[in-house]
Amino acid sequence: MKSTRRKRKQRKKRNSYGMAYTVLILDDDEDFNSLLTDIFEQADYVVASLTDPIEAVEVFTHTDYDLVVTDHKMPEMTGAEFMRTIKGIKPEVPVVMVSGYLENDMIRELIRDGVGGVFLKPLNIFSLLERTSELIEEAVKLKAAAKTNPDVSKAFEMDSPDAKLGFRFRSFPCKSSASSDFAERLHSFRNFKLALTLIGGPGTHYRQICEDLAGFYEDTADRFAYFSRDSFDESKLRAALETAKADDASRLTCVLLSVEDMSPEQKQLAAILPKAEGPFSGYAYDIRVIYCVSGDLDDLYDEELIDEHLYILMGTAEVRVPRLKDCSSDIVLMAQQLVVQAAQKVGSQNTPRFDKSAREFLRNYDWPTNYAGLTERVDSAVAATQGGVISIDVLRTAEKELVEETISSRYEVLLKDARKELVNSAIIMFGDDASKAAPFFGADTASINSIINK
Amino acid sequence: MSGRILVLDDEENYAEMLRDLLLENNYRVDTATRPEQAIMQLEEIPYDLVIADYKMPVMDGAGFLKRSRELYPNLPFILVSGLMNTPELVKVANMSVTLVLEKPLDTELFLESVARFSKPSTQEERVKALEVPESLTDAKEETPAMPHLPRFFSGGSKASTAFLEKAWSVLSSGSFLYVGSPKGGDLDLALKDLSEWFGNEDKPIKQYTLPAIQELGMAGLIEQDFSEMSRLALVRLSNATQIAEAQDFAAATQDNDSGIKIVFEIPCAYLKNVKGLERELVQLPDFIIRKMDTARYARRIARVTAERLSKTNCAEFTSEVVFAILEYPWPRNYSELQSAIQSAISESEDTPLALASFGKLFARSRFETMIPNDRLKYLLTKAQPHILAQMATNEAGGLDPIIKELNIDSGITDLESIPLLKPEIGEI
Repeated sequence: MKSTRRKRKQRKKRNSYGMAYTVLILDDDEDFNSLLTDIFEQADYVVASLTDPIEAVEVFTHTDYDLVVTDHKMPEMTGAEFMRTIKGIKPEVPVVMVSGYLENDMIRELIRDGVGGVFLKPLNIFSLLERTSELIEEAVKLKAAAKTNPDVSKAFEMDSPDAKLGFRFRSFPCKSSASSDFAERLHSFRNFKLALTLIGGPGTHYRQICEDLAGFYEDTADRFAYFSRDSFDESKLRAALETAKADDASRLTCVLLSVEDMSPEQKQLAAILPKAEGPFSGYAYDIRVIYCVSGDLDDLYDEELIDEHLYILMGTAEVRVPRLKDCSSDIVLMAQQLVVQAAQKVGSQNTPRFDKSAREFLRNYDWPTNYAGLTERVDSAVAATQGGVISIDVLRTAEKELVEETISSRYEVLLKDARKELVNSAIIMFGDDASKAAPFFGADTASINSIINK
Repeated sequence: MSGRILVLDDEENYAEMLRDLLLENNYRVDTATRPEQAIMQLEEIPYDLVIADYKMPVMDGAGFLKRSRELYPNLPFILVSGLMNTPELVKVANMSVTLVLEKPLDTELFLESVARFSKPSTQEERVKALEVPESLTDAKEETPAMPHLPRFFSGGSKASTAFLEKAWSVLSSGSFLYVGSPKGGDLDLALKDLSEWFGNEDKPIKQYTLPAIQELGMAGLIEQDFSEMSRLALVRLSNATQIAEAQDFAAATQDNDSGIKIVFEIPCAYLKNVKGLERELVQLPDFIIRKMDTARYARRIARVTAERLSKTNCAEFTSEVVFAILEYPWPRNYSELQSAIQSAISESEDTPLALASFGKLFARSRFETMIPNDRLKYLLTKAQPHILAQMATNEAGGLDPIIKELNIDSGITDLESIPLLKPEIGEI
């Protein structure tokens, strides 16, 4: 059996990480295998060529390839079976079938199972290479789109966010890339030692987020205590420490909400707490602190809202909570959850539902006060409808009651709408290609996308 | 929300058979019998599955698949065909066809496959689509949602969506609609969608003059043969006095359950003569506040024209043309956009459309004199007067409180000369 061989050349087709694209070639016929290998190496791919399908499945499972080329007729396993097997492992990797002869029924079957291309001998090398580069390009685009566009990423998602993330998460449904990235980052920081800083916009639901964090630990001896500006002082803190001690806690995590609004004394207390200094020394368990703030640490420091000690301490681990408007695919689900809670609160028999216009509004609204704003809006809408259908008008009325709209803010909203429409129009005229519209406005694609997703 | 399926088959009977089968299974279906028509529909509507025949005249299934793939590389695409030979199968396999099914169709397998890509509508959604407000007074509070996205009319801008929603709502609860229509507007396209939503498929919409319809009378109208004609009719009013006459005609025939809908088109110049119409009158907005629609139409017109003249590269726009289309006010709306692009493509070589092909139309374009970073600010400054005017119509005191609140120099008499009030929004 021929072993995996890799030859690297100077000039390779590069992917976005600047690495050459890799192709796995499977053909039990040694001569044809080396022919295919030569063709792809000539075309600057990095090639792994194998002759045994069983081994190929093994190699495929543990290595990332951009494309697979396989023969059909092989002793241990047909190419069609091989393709079905690897499509079950990584469905996104395109597979091309190269064969001497195929029945029409077999071609139909291959199509059904998601073949990327079929090439019969005598081989047309040029169209084979053309097709493979097309397939790789499409797969790369789809992957990129799945990252930025929640609608496409849905195609890859399993139903429960927990199944996808591999851990329990409730503060965001994680249907958007911004929120699932956040969930993953938060999870990766779960074992922080002293201090963790959560940076979120106004109205962020830190408490639910920290409850998610608390849920990451299986150790039941982990304790969390929450403090706000009104409840954070030495005596309350000491009480929490004593309670944890009485509970035989192995660790206490103190969550401090809106640190920047605290008094200088409270901030001093916040700075010494994780170091277990002063009044907090002598406890037999670890003390950690989660600082929740609404802005960049640098800005807070410049505005003298936090001093150098806090700045250094808080800077050890930072996680940014996404703004609600950046998680547009999550909002409707979150709102629905809130409706259920709100309906229970007012003792309504029927749970109201959102109509299409309302869902649209929820997704597109700016949510300057994030989760708090959403909660308020849903609560007043539920109170207003008494169990019927919540339409956009109900939500808008709720808005009027909440914020006295000024002429200046209305102008700003309309101007931003006009901006969004202009940018969208340009994108449409460039063939729905945001990357072409970006240089048109002298901007990068990310800023263009952020305007149209607002 | 359930998705939509597009069925393309040159044999009308077969297309209808597939449609009926899918409808019975609660899918939302559109049919087309010509590939070009299907491409246009694809451009306009987000489908979640396409089902097409392979053997068709002019453009075969593979050609259609190729065009669809250019538009949507990942749209599920089922080919339904009689016998296909090996080269044909290999060809479509290499164009990422999703599934190939043989005629005669195994219905069970077919429906099973469709279910993989499209969700049937739920009972709730079907009921909702049929819902119409119970009375005129209720209708004001509860606008029924449009049954689908428009196919012909572009409702991409806020103003145009609001227009179409209101038109749909008025006609859902009554037989008459009055539309204030600007010069060269796209009312015809809106009517095509409305007509289809009221169950007239794509039957042509007949146009009448007011005297003609008065002579025919509602009774005469009802008696016509509607097998090749929409039950939605358009009456173009040609002078101010006809507005009151049209209202008299409507008042005399208020009750009818024939499904006939009449739209009276009122040229904008006569709108000031309108009296006694509130709910039934909607205003088709001008292109100047519909940039997104302008962009969509521009693309559609260019694509169709480029195809017709075999200059497919002309379907693309150069930056200077994108800029000029956004910048130009399009005072004669759709008709002006259409003729500008059509004549530009006929002037142009088979290359992406450039300013030179538009003759003098864009002579005053500021494209040349401006760096890319200033473009958005400039275009927003042009949009600003319309934003202020729109705010003024909603403000009790009109423009004055707005001018005061936004610190606009009160010496300014012309909204167009006001610099951008929040220039930071023009920065990206």
